[in-house]
Amino acid sequence: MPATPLLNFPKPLLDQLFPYHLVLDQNFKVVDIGDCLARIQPELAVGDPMEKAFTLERPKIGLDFDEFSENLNMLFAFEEKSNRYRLRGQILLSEDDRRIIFLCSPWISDLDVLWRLGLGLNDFPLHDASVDVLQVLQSQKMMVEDLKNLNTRLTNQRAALRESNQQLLDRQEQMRRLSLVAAQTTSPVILADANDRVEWVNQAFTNLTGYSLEEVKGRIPSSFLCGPETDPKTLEIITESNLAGTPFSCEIVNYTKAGKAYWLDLEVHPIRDENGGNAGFMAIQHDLTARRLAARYAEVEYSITRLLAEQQDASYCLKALLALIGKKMGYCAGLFWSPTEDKTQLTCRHVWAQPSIEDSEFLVYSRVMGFAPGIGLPGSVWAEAKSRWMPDLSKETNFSRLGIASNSGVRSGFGFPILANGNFFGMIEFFDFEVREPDSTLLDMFSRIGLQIGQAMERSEAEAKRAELLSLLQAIFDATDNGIVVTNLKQEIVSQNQRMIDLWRVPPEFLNPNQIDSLREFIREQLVDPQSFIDRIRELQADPRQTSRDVVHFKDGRVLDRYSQAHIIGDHVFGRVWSYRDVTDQAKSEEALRESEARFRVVAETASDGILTIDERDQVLYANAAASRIFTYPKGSLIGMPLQDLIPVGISHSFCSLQSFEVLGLNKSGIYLPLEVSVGESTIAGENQLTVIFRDITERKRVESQLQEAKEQAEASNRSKSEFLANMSHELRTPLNAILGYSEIIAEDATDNGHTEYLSDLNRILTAGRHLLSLINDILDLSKIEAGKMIIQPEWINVETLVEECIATVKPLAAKNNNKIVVHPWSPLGSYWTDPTRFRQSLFNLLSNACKFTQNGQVELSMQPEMIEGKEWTHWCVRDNGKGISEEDQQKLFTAFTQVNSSSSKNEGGTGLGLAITRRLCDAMGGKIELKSALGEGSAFTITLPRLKLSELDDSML
Amino acid sequence: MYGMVNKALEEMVCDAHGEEVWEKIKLKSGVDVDVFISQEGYPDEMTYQLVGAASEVLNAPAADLLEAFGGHWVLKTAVKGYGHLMTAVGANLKEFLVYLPNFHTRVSLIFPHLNPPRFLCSEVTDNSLNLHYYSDRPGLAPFVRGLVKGLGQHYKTEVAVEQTGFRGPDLDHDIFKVNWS
Repeated sequence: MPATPLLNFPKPLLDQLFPYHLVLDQNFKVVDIGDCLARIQPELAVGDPMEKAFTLERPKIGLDFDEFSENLNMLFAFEEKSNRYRLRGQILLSEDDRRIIFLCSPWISDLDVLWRLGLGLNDFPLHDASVDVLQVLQSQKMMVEDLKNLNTRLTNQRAALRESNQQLLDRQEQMRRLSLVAAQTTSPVILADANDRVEWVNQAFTNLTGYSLEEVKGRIPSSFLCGPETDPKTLEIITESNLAGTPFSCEIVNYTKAGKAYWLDLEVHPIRDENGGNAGFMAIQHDLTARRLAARYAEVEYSITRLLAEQQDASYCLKALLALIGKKMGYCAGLFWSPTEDKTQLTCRHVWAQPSIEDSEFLVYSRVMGFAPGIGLPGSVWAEAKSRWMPDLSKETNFSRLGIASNSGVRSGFGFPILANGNFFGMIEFFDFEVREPDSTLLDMFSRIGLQIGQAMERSEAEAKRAELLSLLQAIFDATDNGIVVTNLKQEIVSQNQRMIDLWRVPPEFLNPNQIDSLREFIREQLVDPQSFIDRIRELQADPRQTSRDVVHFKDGRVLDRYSQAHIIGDHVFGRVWSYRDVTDQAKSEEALRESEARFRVVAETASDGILTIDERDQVLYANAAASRIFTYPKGSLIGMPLQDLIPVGISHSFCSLQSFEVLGLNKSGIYLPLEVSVGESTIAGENQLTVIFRDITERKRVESQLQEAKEQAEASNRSKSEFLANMSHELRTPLNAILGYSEIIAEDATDNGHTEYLSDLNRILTAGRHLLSLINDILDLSKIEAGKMIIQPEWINVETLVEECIATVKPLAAKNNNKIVVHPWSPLGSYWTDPTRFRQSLFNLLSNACKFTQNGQVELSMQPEMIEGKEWTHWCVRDNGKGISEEDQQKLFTAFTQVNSSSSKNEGGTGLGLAITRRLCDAMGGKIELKSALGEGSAFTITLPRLKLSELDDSML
Repeated sequence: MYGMVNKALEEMVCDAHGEEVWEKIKLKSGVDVDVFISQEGYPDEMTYQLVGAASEVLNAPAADLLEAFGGHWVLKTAVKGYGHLMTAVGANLKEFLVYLPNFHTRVSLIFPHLNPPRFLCSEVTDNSLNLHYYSDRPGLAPFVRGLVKGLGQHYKTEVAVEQTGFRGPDLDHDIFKVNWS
């Protein structure tokens, strides 16, 4: 194949024809490159391998000259490596120099590629269809854009159409409803054509006028609806407005088919055709009859409301109210009925009537009649508590006044109840000369009026009660012992009672509001601490809802209790109420009480005895320090403890009757303590409380125990001693009796034998012996008594005989001291129950003592019987006029081995045991011995013994 | 007429005066087309009717309207429709105008039914040329003037357009002397 002539083209020509050509050698290295291709592929230079910039995309053959030569009929496509654009074109080969000529141009599938490569249309040779392809591509894009716009437009139009359809449907529905409304509305409607002739009327029109659609169709409305009372000027305006096509409304009189005139409100709307031309009109009529009637009713209702509002006492205005309704509504009579006090019937309270029937039979009788519930018009309204209409009284079965009503020309009537909150206050009835058909509007109105009157009457009652309450409150305000003053939020005095003025001793001139400063100064001057008084007021002013209580001290010593609380109505604070009470006495009492309490506390807390206060639940309310110490609890911890934890046996109110008693206490360590307890009870604040005062007697018990033991030991020792003495005395007396006996025998023998020189010694022995015997007998008696071996053996005796023996026995002794014995006689006692030995011994002791210790005097014996508690006693009194016994000596006179004056015993003899024995003998015989004596006045010893046998005495005579 | 022209007219009116005015113009012109297809050919009368109606509705001379329309065509319609192709046609006003004859030749070949106008450039210098406008549609010279002015704005080049030759009995086309700086 010869070399392609193209390679012989001058380079500019080749570039002009094929600005993107590429010439490669057989090794696929660049030999030549078109100028436009070189511009968009500047890095590819002559000598560079083609693969530096391009890859062979189509056909899929290797970079081989021979393979290329076999595919010359193929469309070749090279892909640029970096910008990824393609070169498309045709391969030519030059066999001679084995050159490959690629005649191509960039494949522009998108204008962006052109822009990216920086190429213009002038960069393409005119013969190159690439530019055309671009334009076609662009046209295609525009087409797609157009289609999108078209689609959007269609979509929007479809939506608009749907909306339009819906609107159309809505309008159709609206029209349907409007037609329905027009047909069914209660307002008469006329539709007329452009010539003002009726096309259509609704049923309401027919109902009002009596004309059917057929009767009026094609006629001009004014021709059959207007009449003599129709205002011609109004008709002119209607005509003008129709011609002008402007809507209008007016009130006009029309006539029904029957010729009855009626007022109506006429509303006319012109109807336009599509071109805005006159297509007729629509006239809507509103019957004003009901409205005008309603206006009248409203006027009546308003007048009544005003009347009730202006009149305080509703019952007083009832008559005026009857007249007002009767006149305005054109009734002939009105009556007000209310229940009697026992609520068994209604009686007539007020009557209004037109002058023509004021004195009629109907009203005269009505005034004095009474109706029970359910009877007649008043009774049925009362029973049913609702309005009742009687359109024709002659047809009513429950109208008892029919006869007299008919005579008075009364034909119809109605009544309504007066109610408030379910309470029936009465009823009102009105009557008419005409038959009146029931009017529900009117009845509704009167029902409302009835409620209004009821409320007004209820208000009146409430007002009366309120006035009464206010009066009561004022009386309380004035009568209370508390001084009360009410202030407003500015601290100005709104009100005060007389007690307040008295308490504060306010001069009358200061009560004048202009004198408020003087009043304040006066108050300040009275107070001990005016500043705190004022500060308190200011505190409360800052917190108006606060409640306060304090005391106010006056300089004159008075104390006032001040209580204050806010004056609140609902949620609003209006001021403050101050209440002052004189608590001077109470304050003093409280002060005294506080002092007393303080003293009590000191005493209680310092007392060595424990003190507990116990409440009704047996719990400790108070415990003093000693109580804590005794029970070994910490101070204060006893409060609230159950008493049983401290004193397990418990303490009840019955213990209060005991002066004191012993119980066992339990201390904190569980150790039992003997306690001596006394209990007192008190009632404090309505609660019974016990006060338990106790003492730990553990130590005392121990000492007592020791003493008892010592006592018992001493008594045992004493008994041993007495036994010893008794035995010893007995042992002594036996030899002494032998000494005395033998001395007497020797004395007798000496006398008989004439040995008188021995007699004086023998007498001395006898005297000494007898004294010793007497002493030993006394000791023996005392020992017997103390050893418990003295036995009393009572028997019936003749006491006078026994007394005579005693007197005879003591006479020598009396004579010895030159004393005179005087026995005061007494009525013989007869039988006397006693131990004769011991009685004699006792009486003899007293007589012999008197004779012994009295010199040249007188010893008297007397007996005095006495009944004591039903028993007969005898007082044996031995009185002397000796030297008497001192008070001090009297105390020890009856003690064993004691004589008042030791010198006396020496002078007078005696063992000093006589009176001690006598006392014990008297005790043993159930009696006693008493002494009355004074120095220089002699002595009187009295033995008191029972006369008769007394079983209890017998039992004790051991 | 190229549907794109009618569409451009619609866009211009809608942008400036709103869709209602365009609807009025359509109503007045009797043109009942909702959407113009860009590359579809429409009767020339339709365009004339639309321009005439717009002139009436907008109360503006048809010539002024057409001139304004020419500017709008370049600055809005062509830029939006052709995008980079506009740039590819020429890097400046001169290149664009010089390429214009070929461009229309290509259009006439691609869309033979559109019957596009023909252009010819003569006496081309560095800052002027004579633009010869051949069209079967009379009265569109103001549109061409507006087009050239719009191109000046597009290339941000101050341009003066003067019609030096008028289509008439003695001349079969219009001639515009275009100067730029």
